[in-house]
Amino acid sequence: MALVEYKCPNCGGSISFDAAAQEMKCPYCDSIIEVAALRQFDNDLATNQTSEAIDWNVEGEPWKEGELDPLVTYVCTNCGGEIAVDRTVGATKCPFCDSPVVVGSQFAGTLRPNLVVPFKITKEEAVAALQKHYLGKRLLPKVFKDQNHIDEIRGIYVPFWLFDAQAEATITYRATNVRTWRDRRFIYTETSHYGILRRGGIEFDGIPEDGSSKMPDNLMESIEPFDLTQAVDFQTAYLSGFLANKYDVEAQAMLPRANNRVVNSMAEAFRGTVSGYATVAEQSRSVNLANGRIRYGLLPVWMLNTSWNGNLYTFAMNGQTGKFVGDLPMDKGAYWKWTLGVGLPSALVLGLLAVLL
Amino acid sequence: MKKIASIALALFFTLGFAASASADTGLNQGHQLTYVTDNAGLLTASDKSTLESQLAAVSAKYNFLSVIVTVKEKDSREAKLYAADFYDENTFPMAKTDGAILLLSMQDRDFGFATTGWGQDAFDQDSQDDLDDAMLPYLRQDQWAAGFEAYTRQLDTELGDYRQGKATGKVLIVIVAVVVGVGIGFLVSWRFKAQLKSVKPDEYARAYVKQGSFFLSASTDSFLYRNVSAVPIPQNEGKSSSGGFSSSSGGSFSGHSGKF
Repeated sequence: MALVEYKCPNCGGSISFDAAAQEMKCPYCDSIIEVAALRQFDNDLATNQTSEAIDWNVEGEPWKEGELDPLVTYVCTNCGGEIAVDRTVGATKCPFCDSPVVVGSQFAGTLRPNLVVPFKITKEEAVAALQKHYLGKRLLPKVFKDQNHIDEIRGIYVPFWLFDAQAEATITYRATNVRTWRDRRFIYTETSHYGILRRGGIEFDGIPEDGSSKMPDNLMESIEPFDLTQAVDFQTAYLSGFLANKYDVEAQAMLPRANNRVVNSMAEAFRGTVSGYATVAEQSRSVNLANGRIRYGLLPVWMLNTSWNGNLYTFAMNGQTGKFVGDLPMDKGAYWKWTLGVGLPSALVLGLLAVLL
Repeated sequence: MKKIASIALALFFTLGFAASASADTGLNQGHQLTYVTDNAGLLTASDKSTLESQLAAVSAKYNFLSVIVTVKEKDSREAKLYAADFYDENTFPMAKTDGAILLLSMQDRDFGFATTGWGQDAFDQDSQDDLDDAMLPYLRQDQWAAGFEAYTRQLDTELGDYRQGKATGKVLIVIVAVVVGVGIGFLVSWRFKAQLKSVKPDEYARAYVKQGSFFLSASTDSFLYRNVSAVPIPQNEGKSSSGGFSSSSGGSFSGHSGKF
């Protein structure tokens, strides 16, 4: 299996992408190397037809058919360690020497990413964000903050399908306005009915849909948005020092989700142009997409795992904007303390007022 | 000089009008009101005594002054206003501000019912209708004692229902207050609980709308039609309003007038 490990041209140490400096940085001699200078490595990678036929000397029972399909093995070029990883892993760290490596051949045979959004948030900032995430949460168990520790923190380039489209829609509404007046004998209510039509379009640029089956879609949508204007052309050098997955969910599978978001946003934007009525109800909606384009990009995500009371809690952070999400456990005792602590005095005060007034 | 003359003239007419009104109505101004004042002479001594006992019992039971007055004739005032003025002038300076008066004027067979204090809440339109339904069949047949007794019984019923309903209402209000209070507690906890959950799907793509790309090629708002519905306002027929009114001295009453 082909590996690419970026070496410092100064000292030969393994180098990785530094999110803070937005350059490649050598952790041994602190040399800063421009990403562009490493483009040559990519070219070499593209022309490198390395083919490794690993002659496994299997003892005992042979592997069953298909059992090894999800896994691939590679040999670290730095220490020679042999590692098995999931077939979708495109970049990782050697567990023996901790060298950042890119499994270049893992991207062979699939689409080459159109773009990559480099990490802007550092690992330290991600850890600090987790502590900040705990602040102000009154029902968060105190022991959770005190006892839990980060089991694992990973900077991952997550594969996303990026949907571009020009959407055109025609939406009709029925609206009413109401006027009331009275004389000595009757109360009159006049209801005026209106038919409303809106036709127009909106252009969407880069709606991201997670292309990795290992990443929960809800979690990935929760850390949006990503600013694709800061994306750069894909170069494997950006992956160095981070994990990277290639897609294992086809773009077509994510189309319904992207379409749904487009339609909802169209409806929302059009509805915003209908005003001045007491009631508005949508009657019909027709949405057409044109000039659809799907790009493949790698977007930066920090994933943090903590465990507490035998449960695993996963947090995700947008590696570009720093948006941090993750569900937290609830202290049931605190919940009832707040419910009764606020509810009973309120009930007492309101009850007394009701009796006195 | 002109100013002094104007004041003197105003005083003259005011005092003169008051004296005239007092003479016309023959009200026992400043005297303590008895439960039954039978100026028209409709009741026997025995009937009057029985009725007074019944009204005294009702008055004591609810701390609510209940009186019946008959007069041979009244002035041009509406019967309910005449009754309210009678009540005002004859209960002064008594401390009882809660009460009801039934007045019969025999000349035109007018009757007026007026109530003040918490009686204004107790006797709504339906309650006053019930009083009429109880007493008028007797009064129309000149069965005065029976009519007044029926009135007194119904008065007792209405006051009792109101007291019971008010007590029930208070209990309900307290229950509602407690439920609302506990609801506030749950609302606060729910807000805090919501803080713990930050993972949720994004159903929209607002963040990816290309700036300035939104356009409308057609935008029409067309009036289609209108319709009008009319809901009748409940009317009082054959009776004066049972709504609030002021007595001549400014006291707050509600009640109604009618014929028997």
